[in-house]
Amino acid sequence: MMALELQNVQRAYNGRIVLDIPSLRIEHGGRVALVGPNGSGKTTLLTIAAMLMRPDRGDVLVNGERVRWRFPEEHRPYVAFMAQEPFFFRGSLLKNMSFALEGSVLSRKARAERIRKQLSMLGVHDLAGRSPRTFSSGERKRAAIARALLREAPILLLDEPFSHIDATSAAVLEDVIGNLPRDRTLVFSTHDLSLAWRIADTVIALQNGRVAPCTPENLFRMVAHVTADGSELRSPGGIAIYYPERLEEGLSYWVMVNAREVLVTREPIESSARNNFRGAIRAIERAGANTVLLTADCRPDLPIRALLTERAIRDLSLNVGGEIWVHFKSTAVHAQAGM
Amino acid sequence: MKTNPILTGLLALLTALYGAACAAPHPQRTESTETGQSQRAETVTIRLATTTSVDNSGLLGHLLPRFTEETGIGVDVIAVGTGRALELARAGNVDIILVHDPEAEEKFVSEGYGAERRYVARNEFVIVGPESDPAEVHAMNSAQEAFSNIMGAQARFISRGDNSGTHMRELSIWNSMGVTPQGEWYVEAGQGMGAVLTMADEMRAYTLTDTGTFYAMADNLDLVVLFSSDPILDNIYSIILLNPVIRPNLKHAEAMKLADWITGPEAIEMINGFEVNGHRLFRVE
Amino acid sequence: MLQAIVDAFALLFSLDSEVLKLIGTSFSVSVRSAAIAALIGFPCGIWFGLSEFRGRAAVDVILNTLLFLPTVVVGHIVYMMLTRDAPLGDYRLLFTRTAIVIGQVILATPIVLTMVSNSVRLADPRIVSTALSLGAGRLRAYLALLGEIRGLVLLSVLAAFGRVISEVGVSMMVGGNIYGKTRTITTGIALLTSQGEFARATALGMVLLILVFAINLAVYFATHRARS
Repeated sequence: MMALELQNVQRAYNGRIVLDIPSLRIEHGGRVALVGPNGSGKTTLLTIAAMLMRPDRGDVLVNGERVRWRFPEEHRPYVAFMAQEPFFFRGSLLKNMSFALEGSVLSRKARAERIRKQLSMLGVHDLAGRSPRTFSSGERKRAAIARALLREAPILLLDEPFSHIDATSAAVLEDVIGNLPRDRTLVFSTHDLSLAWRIADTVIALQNGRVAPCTPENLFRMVAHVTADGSELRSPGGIAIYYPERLEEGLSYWVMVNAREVLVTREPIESSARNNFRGAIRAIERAGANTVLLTADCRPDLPIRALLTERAIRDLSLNVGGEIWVHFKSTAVHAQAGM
Repeated sequence: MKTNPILTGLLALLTALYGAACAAPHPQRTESTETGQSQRAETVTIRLATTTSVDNSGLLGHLLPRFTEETGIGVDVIAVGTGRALELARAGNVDIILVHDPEAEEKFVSEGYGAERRYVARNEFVIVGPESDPAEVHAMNSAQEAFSNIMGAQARFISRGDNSGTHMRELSIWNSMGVTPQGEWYVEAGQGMGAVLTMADEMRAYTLTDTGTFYAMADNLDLVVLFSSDPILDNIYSIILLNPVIRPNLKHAEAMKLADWITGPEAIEMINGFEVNGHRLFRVE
Repeated sequence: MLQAIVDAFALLFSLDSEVLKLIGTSFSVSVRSAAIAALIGFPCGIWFGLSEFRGRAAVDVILNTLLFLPTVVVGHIVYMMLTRDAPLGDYRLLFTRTAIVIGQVILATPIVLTMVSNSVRLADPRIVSTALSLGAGRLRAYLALLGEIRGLVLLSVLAAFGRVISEVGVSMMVGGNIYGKTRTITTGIALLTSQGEFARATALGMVLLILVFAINLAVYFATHRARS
């Protein structure tokens, strides 16, 4: 049974489709990051998953049960949501926190204790008596997270928790969110790919309301030139990536290369991959459990990223600065005009 | 939420006012199984529609409490114009009426709405005006002559203009002369007698008024009685019982008791003895 | 004018039983009317404020028109509803305080409705969804919405109360101005006026003004104290 599932979910706004998800499944205890540019549907997806908006089509399943849109209250105890711009009721932070615990079976003392604990965890306990409307944006985000966490709901949906936030608050948030107990399911959206990979096990990219073919670790703007059996996508510096389809000559394209399909070798190899480049390792970063994001600067101007297992890094003794070859088939390339 | 003292005070004030209002004399509408002599508390209430002039004279305020004391029947007085009173009776919204428009009353009975008409009292209309009396009303021998003079002199005259008994009487006088009064001098006020008298006082104009309202206000007015004692100005007050066949759900038994009482010896004495500012306002003959 | 004000205070504080009866009747009726108007207007106002449907603009126009209903017209309508031959006639409600309340509720409800719905539309659109996301039930979420706009909500009740406590048309037509039962301050003033007792009528009018002023003052302090 999935913690959260979307089936054939569609939502349109002013005649334009803003979300189109045939299937999305999130397991219990999962850590999922949603990435994508503004307008890609991240907020819509989270809002629908939080049962605060009804899709035009499709179903949302919480704990395997289909949400009846007339009675979403049944599932609310299991889902907590934090909006990108959190709203606070008038009154103190304490009052706002108490609101979340109304109707709870806890005694007054227990509630007060839980509130105190949560506020301290987010470092906003000494702000409890003030109105959150007077807080800085970082304090507000921390307060909102504290409020969202208060009910200890098993599924936590956070919309851009790390946006518009100062460094201290970001650090606190990353700490709290990263250390959530494993029995909670977390889905959050962000612009920051590295952050996504640091915290999440799974990164899903959204593009124009749909799940993108791959996450945008490799995103380049290149010009197409038609060839005998497809196209060549050229960077300003002259690097060419082979693409199996015929594109429009001279037109600019957004090009994505699936980082999971990039092969890394110490020596050049002969293979079916048509794209092979040589470069120096610029960075090796952690990306979730057991995964590592490797960035190689392929001369002259293409920084290719590959998602590798930790083991692979060790086996190949890869280090920053070392020379490597990257390979990927033309099927790992996705081109889109004027995205 | 912290309790706000002023808000609490305000709520307390409103609650207190509301409580006082509910505690205000508000007779129950239930029938009581108790019978017996003088009860102070009302057990049944009937509705009497009457004219504003009757109400303003204070006669009912003088009579009705005694009736209630003796019978335990309360009387709610709804004071409107004659026309409206008759309409209320036709619609079945009141149990009994007391009016003073014989023509309309006869029609009311012949139409079947009124079951029985009983004479209660009489007084008269008088023509009042400024002491200077520019139209020489005081020297006239009949109401018609007086009116004719006023019209001829184009002296200002305030008419009730509201289809009340007084207004109807005034119009009948004009009609009997075959004239329709109009012009700047003829002011149709559309107001109650008291307001019209005040207006006439201000404008030093003539008007037709019942003695009751006039004498109650006479001290504050500069107007004087200039013409009276013409049979055409007699004002007969009758109480009319309503037809139980057409309107079976009214309180006919209690209404009958009122009609009996108000035409009975005790009431007659009280009516004859009712004075305002030294003037007897009603006579029972 | 000044004399009238002095007379008014004298009248008020003399605790003249006649005047007290009028005050009692007026308040008993109008407080009830405003309360019922609130009971109807709050949920309808919230629903209408949150709803989006074709023709909502048309309903807006109709509601706004109802704000200007002449009181005598409403009095007529209620009279027609309560007269003996009408369907509701059997309840003998005509010439009772209840009849006045019915008419005043018709006057007051559009005020509460339009003000609440407009306040809802102007309120932060995130209120209800935030409440829901924190586990509130729908009713609790709407209450939270009311709480956030409570200043305007209170104002709507005050405006409704003001409208009904100063009206004459309904009270006179369906109340009958019966002494001790349905004679309100305003019908009392009308009666005094028709009797030509302008000075006393003005004094009574001042009494009403003073009472209403006191209420508004108290509410002002209540709401502004809360802010600091």
